[in-house]
Amino acid sequence: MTSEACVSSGWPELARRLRSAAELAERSARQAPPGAAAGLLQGLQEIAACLEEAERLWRQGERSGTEPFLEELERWAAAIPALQGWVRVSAALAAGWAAAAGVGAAYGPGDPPPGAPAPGAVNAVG
Amino acid sequence: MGNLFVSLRNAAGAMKVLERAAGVVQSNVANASTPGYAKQVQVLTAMRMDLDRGLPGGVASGGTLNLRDAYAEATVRQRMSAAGQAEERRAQLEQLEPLYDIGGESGLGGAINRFFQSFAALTVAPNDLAARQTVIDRADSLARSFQSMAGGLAEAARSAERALEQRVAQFNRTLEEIAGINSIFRQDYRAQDDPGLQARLHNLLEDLSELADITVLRREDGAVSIYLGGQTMLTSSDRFYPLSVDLSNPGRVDLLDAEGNTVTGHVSSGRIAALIDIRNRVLPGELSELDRLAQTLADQVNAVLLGGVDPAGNPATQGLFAYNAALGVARTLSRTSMTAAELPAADPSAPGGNAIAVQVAELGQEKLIDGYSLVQFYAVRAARAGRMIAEGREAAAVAGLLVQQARQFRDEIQRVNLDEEAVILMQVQRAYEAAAQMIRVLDEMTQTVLGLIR
Repeated sequence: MTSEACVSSGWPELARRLRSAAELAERSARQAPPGAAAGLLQGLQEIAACLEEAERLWRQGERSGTEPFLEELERWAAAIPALQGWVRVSAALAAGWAAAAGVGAAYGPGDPPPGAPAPGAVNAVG
Repeated sequence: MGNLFVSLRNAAGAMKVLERAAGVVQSNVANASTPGYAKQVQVLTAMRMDLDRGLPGGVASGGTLNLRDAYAEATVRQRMSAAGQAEERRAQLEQLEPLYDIGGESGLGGAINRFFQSFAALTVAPNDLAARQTVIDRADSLARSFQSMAGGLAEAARSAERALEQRVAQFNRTLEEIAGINSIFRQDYRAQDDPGLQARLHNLLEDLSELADITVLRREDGAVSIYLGGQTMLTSSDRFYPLSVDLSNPGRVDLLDAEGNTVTGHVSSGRIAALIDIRNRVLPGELSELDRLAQTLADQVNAVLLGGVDPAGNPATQGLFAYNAALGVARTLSRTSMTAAELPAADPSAPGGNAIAVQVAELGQEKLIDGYSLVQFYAVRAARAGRMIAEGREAAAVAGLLVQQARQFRDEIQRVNLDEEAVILMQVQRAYEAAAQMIRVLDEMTQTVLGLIR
């Protein structure tokens, strides 16, 4: 799977793709689970690819005309806390939905609340 | 950062699959108690992992699998037909139970006994008017008992006819509903993947099979073609061909197809088959035997009495019983206008004697029909009816258990298991938690890049 952002050329294009990916991630995070989980992951993946591409361009010496990208990057950085909040809500909803369906406890008193850091979670999914 | 991207790509792929699986689970959980619902399963396929060649591994969706099992469904339908037939037969036969009294003190058996006992009493005082009147009264009572039993059998036949009309109407309504579902399938090919619609269709097919033995053929567009007994077409695509009941023949009922052809022989099980069998075979058989008993009794008693004379020595001019064979012996059996004074109890050679009364009294013990006395013959018929009713109850109970067993077998294959669904729900929950982790990593990456560019 090759990200669209990975083949971008130049800072303006990268800025456009970062904005698009951030919007997708934010929009998906605000939807009730499990409807937009894939959109959320796709958005996050695009953002990660954009960040990697930015680092590569910077290290290749392309350091002019970064303003549009920097502007989008700061916008994205500012949006992260809100996004984290939405994902925590989605995790809680998914757990509550499971409990409401009567198919399993959401989480017990001894468990970490939904959204709390779970060691190894990223690698476990992959 | 390559490994992180591999993880992200895998996570995104896994999330897409989980998202679909969660949708399937949502449908399964919501329909866990829906009759006829067959579990849906999201098929997961492991992807090849070879990082050197850019193959990140992970999991992919292999489509949605419907666990409906055609064999299990057909078995349930088959058992439903047998159970419907046994249950309807039981219900109809139980209506006959009050007509047969095996105890002998009431009903027809008691009336036959009392009639011959009255002749036995007459032999002691052949010219006693009270004893003679008792014979006349008992003859009246006996005739009424035959009429009553024949009437009961006729009412049972009418009841079976009404039930048959209701069942056929129910059958046609179900056919119409199935044709409606077929129509949806024809209009939208994707509708055959709708588990709710499939559940509705299979419930209707079960209802139909309880009424009659049907053959179901699945067409490519998802619609079903249904045949009665594998022969008469009942639905074709979005059209249906209703059945009707022909009551024009007083001796029997017939089932007609949409074109008016008799298809009675095409139905061999289900409630409709039971009703047709009860109406066309069982009840006429019982009535025929009752007529035989009534005719034998009336003819034998009349034959003896016509050879006798009354106390004044006048020969008998008529028998004690009359009937109309064309309309049914038992139904029309009656006492003639013979009075107590006219009763010919004596032999012409000995007027005032009891020879004829003795002969009639002895008829009660003679083997006049199928090697049995009249009372014994009735007792045998009553016992046979009782056995038939008991067997009907037993068959209905066994058939019910077989349906239960077939349903259990089917449910083991296709029913929703909430424990299994819970695992997937937990995976969705964990996936959101993983997303929260990714955002934390991205936050760090973002700060790194910001530090570089600023």
